Amino acid sequence: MGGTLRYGTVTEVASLDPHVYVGSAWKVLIEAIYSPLVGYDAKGKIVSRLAERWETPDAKTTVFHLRKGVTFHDGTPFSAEDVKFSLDRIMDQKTGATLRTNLAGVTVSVVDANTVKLATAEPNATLLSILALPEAAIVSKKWIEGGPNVKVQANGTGPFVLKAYEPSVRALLEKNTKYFIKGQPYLNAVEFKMIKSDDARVNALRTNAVDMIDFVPWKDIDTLRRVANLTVDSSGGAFMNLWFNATRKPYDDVRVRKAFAYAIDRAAISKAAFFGHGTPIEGPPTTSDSPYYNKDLAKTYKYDPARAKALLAEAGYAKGFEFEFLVFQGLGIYTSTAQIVQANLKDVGINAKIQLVEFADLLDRKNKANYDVMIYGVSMKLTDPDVYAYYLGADSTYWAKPIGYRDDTLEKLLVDGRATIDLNARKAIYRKVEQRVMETSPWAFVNFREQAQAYTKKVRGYSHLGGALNESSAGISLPTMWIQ
Amino acid sequence: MLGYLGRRFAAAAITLALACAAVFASIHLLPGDPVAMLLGEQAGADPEVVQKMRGQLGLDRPLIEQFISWIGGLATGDLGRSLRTGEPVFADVMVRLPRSLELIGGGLSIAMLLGIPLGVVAARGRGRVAGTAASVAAIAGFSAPVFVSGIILVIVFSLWLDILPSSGFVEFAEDPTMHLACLALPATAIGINFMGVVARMTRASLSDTMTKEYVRLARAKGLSRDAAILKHALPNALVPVIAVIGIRAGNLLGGTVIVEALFDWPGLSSMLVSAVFARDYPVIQGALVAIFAVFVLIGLAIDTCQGIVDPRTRESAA
Repeated sequence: MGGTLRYGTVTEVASLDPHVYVGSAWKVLIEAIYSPLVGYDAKGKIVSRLAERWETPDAKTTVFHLRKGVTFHDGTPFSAEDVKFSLDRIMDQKTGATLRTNLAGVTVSVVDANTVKLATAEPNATLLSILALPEAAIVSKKWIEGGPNVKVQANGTGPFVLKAYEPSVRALLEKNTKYFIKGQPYLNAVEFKMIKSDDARVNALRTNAVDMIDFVPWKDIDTLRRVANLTVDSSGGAFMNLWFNATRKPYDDVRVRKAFAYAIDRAAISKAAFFGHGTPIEGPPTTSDSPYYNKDLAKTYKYDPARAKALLAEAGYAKGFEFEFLVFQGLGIYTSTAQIVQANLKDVGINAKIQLVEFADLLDRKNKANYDVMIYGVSMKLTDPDVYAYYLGADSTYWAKPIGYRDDTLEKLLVDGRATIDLNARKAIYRKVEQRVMETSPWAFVNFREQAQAYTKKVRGYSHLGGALNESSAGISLPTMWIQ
Repeated sequence: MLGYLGRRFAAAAITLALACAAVFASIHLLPGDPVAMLLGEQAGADPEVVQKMRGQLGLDRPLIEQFISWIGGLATGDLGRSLRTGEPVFADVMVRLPRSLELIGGGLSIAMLLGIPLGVVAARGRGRVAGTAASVAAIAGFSAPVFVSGIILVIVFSLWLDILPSSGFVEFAEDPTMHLACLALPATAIGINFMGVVARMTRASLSDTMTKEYVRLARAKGLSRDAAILKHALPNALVPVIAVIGIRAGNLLGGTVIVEALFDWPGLSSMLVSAVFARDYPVIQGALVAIFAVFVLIGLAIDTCQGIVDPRTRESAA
């Protein structure tokens, strides 16, 4: 076992700051170089990383007992101070960390060199699932205080050490021989090649210039599956939606939003835009393998143009209306989806004027609430159903806050869900959350987007995960992968 | 002569300064916010966090102040730091620029090696099969977009014959053979495309020169037609061709985007495109300034050469 894995990725990783997410491959790199307190295994279970074990004396407190004898790649010993420093760095607004709001209200205190206590103001059932993400990486206090450029240098406790890095081009990792999990990693080295062009990435795999690629273009999934030497794994890891500016007329009317949801022919989109690799979402965006999946809601919004028309008439738009449909121009899955939705809406009398924009423009208009309806691809960030607070919660800057959307019923349910520890009680709460989401239709869900990785038969030990851990599949598998 | 060069340098410096001002003004007109791109979908939409980050990056200062400090830095060769990586832009440009120049140099060499003989054949054999065939090849070369010829090259040389890598880049110091193998296909894609232009230019210029009296004189002295063309007509006919190639080299510097993307060649164009998508202002500015600077230098070189070769240019410029 061993070897060098050459990994071709679509993401141009321009920064390695371990607390600011910049794309899928960033996540894989950070998980390889750094370690969080806890992590996920290939089944999605939370397992030990820098914390050897942990306990929750009460619903607002978690105590972590840290591994002893762990050192950072630069040789500095790891201790409880580093944990406090790292989590405080995430919570500091100046860092711009991805998980800042998820950790809001957490107080970190050092009990002794090997023990850390986390206290939350309110009971918080999601804490462990947040701390297990690569974005919750533990950095060395001493190293950061020395003022390195954390965007191009790295110093973690993870299974691999950063050897060479050219931003947006390449990163070379070598085995950390002192990794705290004995016997891992199996690989001697990993070379990340950032190949943005879809054709170049696929050709690099076919000509054996790389061993594995991420983000297999949907048009190539079936073709590559027929190549004898290759394996293609795919599963839903993101989903496509129509985002309404739900506080602007006429989208503030739930009947109009529902009309959109009924008007979309999701099967046609799956077939034409995703080459069959995009399961329609007629209910809430929860995959059927999740413990929170509710099959009673799964068929809420079946394709029904007549019903869409009736709802529009009820809302006073029997003659329809015209709107600007904001669409990201860079990927065929967006533009093809837009064209089908446009035709579907025309059938019910709505005239969608497609406006193609760059991602920076789309993001800017989202943040400034300057849009009617846009297509938005959402990657499932969290394994916990509290992800609905991120998607739709009034305080989340992701979607609701910029447009000032607030649904008090939903807000109360989300608070309850976060404060409830018991799994069955939580299930009951999130059933209500999903029912409420279906009733209010703040987004029109379109389809799951299969995310695929392709690799040669020499690559062993890779597990492709679905749902929220999909992006982490390579990161989780990396320590136990090898080249045959 | 020195006065002439001085004037040319002054004109070049003014051109460069105006270009810098235009670049700075225009990229700030682009919709989109670098901080939102930097921090992502959630944190990048949080006004307080965004404001703090702006402060740290110096983006909260008035535009005019940012421009003055940038121009001030430019004068000392400091192009600022990338918003994404925090690294000096000048160093990044110096890594990327040689790679692009190498790609363009390779492409232009191939274009000349193929295009000039094609042009000669076309001019020499006007109205005959060989001449027509050469003209058709030239037209096919520049009519096929680079991404079409590029993909055909990949299919033939990488997927079928399996003799050249389909894409990628390896530092020359690390593995010279692999470095050149990676260069072969993208350079050929540029070469084939530009070969057509070179062939057409050569043909037109040579046809014209062949009617000149000194060529007829050479023939009258008993030289064969081919000898007259190759020894007397061609060298003179190539002067305008070289000038066009020079200008084109500058154009290509910003225009190899498609080739660099298709072949995953990490040159200046791909750096520029990636910076534009991320709104990494200092990198966009730095890359464009580098392109302008090379462009101006090429222009200056052409002017200087012409000034040396042809005294009339020098006088008319005065």
